[in-house]
Amino acid sequence: MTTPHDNELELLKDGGQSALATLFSNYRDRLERIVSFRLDHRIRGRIDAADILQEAFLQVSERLPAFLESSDVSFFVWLRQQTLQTLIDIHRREFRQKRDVNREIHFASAGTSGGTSLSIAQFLIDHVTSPSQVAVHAEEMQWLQQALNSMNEVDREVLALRHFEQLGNNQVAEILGLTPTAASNRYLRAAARLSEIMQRLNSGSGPAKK
Amino acid sequence: MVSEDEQHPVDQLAEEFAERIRSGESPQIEDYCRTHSEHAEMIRAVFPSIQIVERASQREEQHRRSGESESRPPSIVSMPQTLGDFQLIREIGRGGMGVVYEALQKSLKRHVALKVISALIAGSEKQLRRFRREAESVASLHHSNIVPVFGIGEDHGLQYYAMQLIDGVTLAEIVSHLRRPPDSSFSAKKDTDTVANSGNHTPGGSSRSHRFGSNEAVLQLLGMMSAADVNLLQSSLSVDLSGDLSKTPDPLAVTKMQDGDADPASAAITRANAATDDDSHELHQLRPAEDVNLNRSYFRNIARLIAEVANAVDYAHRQGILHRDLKPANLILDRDGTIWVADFGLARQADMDGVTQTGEIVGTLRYMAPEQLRGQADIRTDIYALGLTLYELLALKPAVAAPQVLDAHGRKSVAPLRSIRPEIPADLETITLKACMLEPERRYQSAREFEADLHRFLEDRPIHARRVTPVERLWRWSKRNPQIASLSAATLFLLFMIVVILGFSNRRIQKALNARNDQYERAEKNLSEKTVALKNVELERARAEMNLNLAIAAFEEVFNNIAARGRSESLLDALSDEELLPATDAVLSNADVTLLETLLGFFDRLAAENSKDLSTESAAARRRVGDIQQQLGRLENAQKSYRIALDAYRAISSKNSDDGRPQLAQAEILHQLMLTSMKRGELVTAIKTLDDLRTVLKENSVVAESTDGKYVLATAINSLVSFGLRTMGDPRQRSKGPLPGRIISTTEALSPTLAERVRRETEANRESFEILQSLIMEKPLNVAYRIELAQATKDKARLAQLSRDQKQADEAMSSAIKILEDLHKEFPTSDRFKYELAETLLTVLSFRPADMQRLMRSQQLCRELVEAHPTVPEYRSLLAMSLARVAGMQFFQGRTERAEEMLRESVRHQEQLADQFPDVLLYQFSLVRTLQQLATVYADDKRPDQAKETLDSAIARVDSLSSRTRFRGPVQQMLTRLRESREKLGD
Repeated sequence: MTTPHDNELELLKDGGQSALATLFSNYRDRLERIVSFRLDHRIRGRIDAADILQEAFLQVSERLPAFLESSDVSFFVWLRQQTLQTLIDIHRREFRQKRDVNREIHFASAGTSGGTSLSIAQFLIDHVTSPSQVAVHAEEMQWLQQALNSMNEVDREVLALRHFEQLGNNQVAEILGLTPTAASNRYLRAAARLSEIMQRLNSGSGPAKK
Repeated sequence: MVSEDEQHPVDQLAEEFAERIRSGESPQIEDYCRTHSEHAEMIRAVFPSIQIVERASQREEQHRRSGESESRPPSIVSMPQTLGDFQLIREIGRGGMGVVYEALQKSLKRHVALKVISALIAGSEKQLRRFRREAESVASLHHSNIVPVFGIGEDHGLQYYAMQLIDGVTLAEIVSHLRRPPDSSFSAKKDTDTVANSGNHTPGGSSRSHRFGSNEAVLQLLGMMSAADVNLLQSSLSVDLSGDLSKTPDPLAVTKMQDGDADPASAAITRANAATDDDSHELHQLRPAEDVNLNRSYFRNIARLIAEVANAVDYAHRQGILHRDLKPANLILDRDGTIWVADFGLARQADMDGVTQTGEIVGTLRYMAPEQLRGQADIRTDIYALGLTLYELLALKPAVAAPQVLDAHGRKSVAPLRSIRPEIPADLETITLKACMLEPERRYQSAREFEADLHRFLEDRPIHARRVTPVERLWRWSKRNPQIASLSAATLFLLFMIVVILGFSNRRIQKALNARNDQYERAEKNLSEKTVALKNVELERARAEMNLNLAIAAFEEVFNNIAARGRSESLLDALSDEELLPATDAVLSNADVTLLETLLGFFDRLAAENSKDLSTESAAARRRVGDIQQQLGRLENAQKSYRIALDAYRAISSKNSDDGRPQLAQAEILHQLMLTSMKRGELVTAIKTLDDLRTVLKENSVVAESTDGKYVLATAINSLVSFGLRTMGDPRQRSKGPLPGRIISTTEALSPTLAERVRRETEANRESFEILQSLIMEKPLNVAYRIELAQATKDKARLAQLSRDQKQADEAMSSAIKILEDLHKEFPTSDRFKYELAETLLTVLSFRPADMQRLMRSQQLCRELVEAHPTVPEYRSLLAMSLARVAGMQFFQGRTERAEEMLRESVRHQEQLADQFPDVLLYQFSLVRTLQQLATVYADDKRPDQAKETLDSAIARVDSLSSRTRFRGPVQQMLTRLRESREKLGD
């Protein structure tokens, strides 16, 4: 299978750092989205996604040769891994003083389901507490949160990757270590299950869905 | 059935569905069910949740884009409007250390660039420390090419510092502007992109398009527009120059900016051109395109700019601050053509490494030196980055190809510039390539050296950087050749030193070497095809190469120094006071001596490791060491070196008797031995050595009969005669003349011993005279022969004078002058002949009108020399001397006033020299002597007070000298004489 990934590797091998810079800036928006999705809201005041990407880029440029030597994942997935690792490091650094055991665990696994549910919950909470959003979406958010919480980890992760990180199926497959077909099926199942849960919640206590 | 690698069809639809929501549409689930009825059920099951999740995600996105809410603490996304005294206006750029804003300093009503440290960095104690230290170190820099830092502050929990806002374009913008194809060059947006891509975060490096733009900058650099033009143009458009945004900008520029499809700068130029009745289309032609022909003006401008940067960087280095991130994007050219070094962002104390101990890599990778990639940086790291910057400005493409950027070991030497652009001046290429050398040892060792070479290029003087010569290629070959490479590093050093030495010495040997070089090169071609690289050997070679290059650089520097100052020896002829003889070496500084001694240490080791094949080269090296030691005044050491070299050549000639070269070399060395003996006052030894020289020549009749052999003999005799003449007579006798000076009295009888010496000298002089005449018969145009003949003729005149043969003296002097006049006429631009002529004209034998004319001519030549080269001390010294001598004549003829005037001018010149070169005894003595003359004039003119004052200042000078010099004796003598004169004047 020839994918854009192979081309990227070629580019990186030929173009080195300048190719890296170009590719990184191509992915910048997506990475920024991922980072903001997973960034702990308590440090958002001090750190924003751009800062983390800056630091991630330094990491990435240092580790690029190692990656090129033995790359078992595609460039983007690697980029995402590195970026999330940077994020984890920063989280650790930020919370070192007021150590929080739970948080340590969550951040250690950011990018997997534990971190994901936290992130989803977090941004849903953000919305609830944001005055402009409260009235309109509060309930929808609440249901969504409940629904997601009741799902298993992999389903939740698939949905987060597809919709919050806005990754394509192939990338999701790579991250989760599934074949594209399996990933696709898994996603559809998860989406269907989420609809189901939402509907159940909706028909139960909630107001009529538009 | 779908294959393993395929997405479920509904998933594909779901993806499209999500995409549409993301792009702001409101796709209907039922529409999908209708068009894809076979999947309707699944769509109804899946899509609703997708809709909800996407909407949630989308709101999050909007939320993020719209910035943080006010309730949150300030971050770099939601900046406060003001920070301390500064009101933020807009963001200029971003970088690793923070964001740069344009801001208004309210108290001073000035616009500044404000660098605010990013929240991320502020969160790390280490980074914060670096930021503060950075600001402090940069604030301590005051240089006209370094963007000044006004101050540092903290507000709202944010660290920031304020620096001058520069209205200019970065060199990165200029390069990309020159490189950009013409059709896309009008996009203002492009400009912005370029800035962003280059990682530019300089205070002024924005695309503030209505200001000074890359277009003007480029036209300026190409010499198509002067800085004054730019300023005129801008003010005529009433575009804000001061950087004050509150004024109304040029309406045209604003319109164009809003259009977003035109470069406002070029629009401005277009308009200006229209205003001056120029065809505005012309600008499109002027506008540099991809195939732009860079002109001479561009290269010179770039050289000038980089020289200024080097000066600024050198200044910072001397403060212990490295820039560590020099690159085109950090250099800003303003409208006045001034270059600014910005963003000492990664600067740190060069000698103190508290923060970056981990060897972490910061800076822009492309411009990083290999050693910096390994986490080490020093002054030469900045030089490398500046070299790459210069390279890029000349080649209009980066010096380091992308794949090598990060690889510290894989970096290759940069491609020769002229292979990219043949129009680049060769010297400028040489300078650039030297700065870009991979090994720090082979680069310029200081930014000042770099700058100096650029200035030499700009002034069309010979640069110090060397091209890789065929000779060096020989050495490089030897390095790659396994047999030679197996020799020790010291042996390689020897081989290389020889190569350098040969560059300075015997042309014939060099020719032979070149022939060998050709052979080597042919062999190299064969070898290189078969060569298999052995890593350890490679490393060993690299180390050897570093040492060698360092040694060469030092060697060359010192040698050039000596060569430049070697002239002062001929001055001694003119002055010819025996007490001055030991002062020859004083023209060299102690630093030179130290450097050379280091080199000599190398040589000593080499001598111990003499290899058979290299014996000739080794002997040559030894001899050269002797030359240097002699120049340095280390006469005893020089004699030792010469003797070793002599023995070596003797051994060679005994093995190979057919070849006359070793004999010739021996003769030449013996001549040098004579000179050292004479300098040590060992006249008898010198005479004996001359006999040895004759013997050596006789051994090989071919050599003895060759022009070279004859020439050596003649010069040897000449130097003996000149020296003998110098030491003749008692200075006290001479000072009895009308004024202290070197006019030989003709009235006194010669003492018997002196008469005998004069006879001997005359005989010797006749011999050399005859040899030289026969040589000139053979080669009438040979300049060396003619100069030597002039010297012999001058000596002949002096000897005739001593023998009271005034007529012959006059004749000889006239013919010496004639030889030099002819040379001067043939080579009117040669300062050397002009100098020799002026110096000879000063040798006055009597006080006759004809002599006066000669003195006046000498004075005129000296003035020409000083005017052309005000910094050459020898020329100024000779002028002072000619003034003093003319003054002597004037005084003798009773024109006291004129004499006084000239003596005063002479004193002015000599004071300047004496103050500039306090260690050069010659200048001190000359000054004192002129002061003495001036005092005599005052005393004669019945102005005893002024005479006393003058003598007192002379005494003070000699006094301070006596504590500093090794030559106490002569100084003491002089002091006694001065005090005697002073006593005669009373109190």
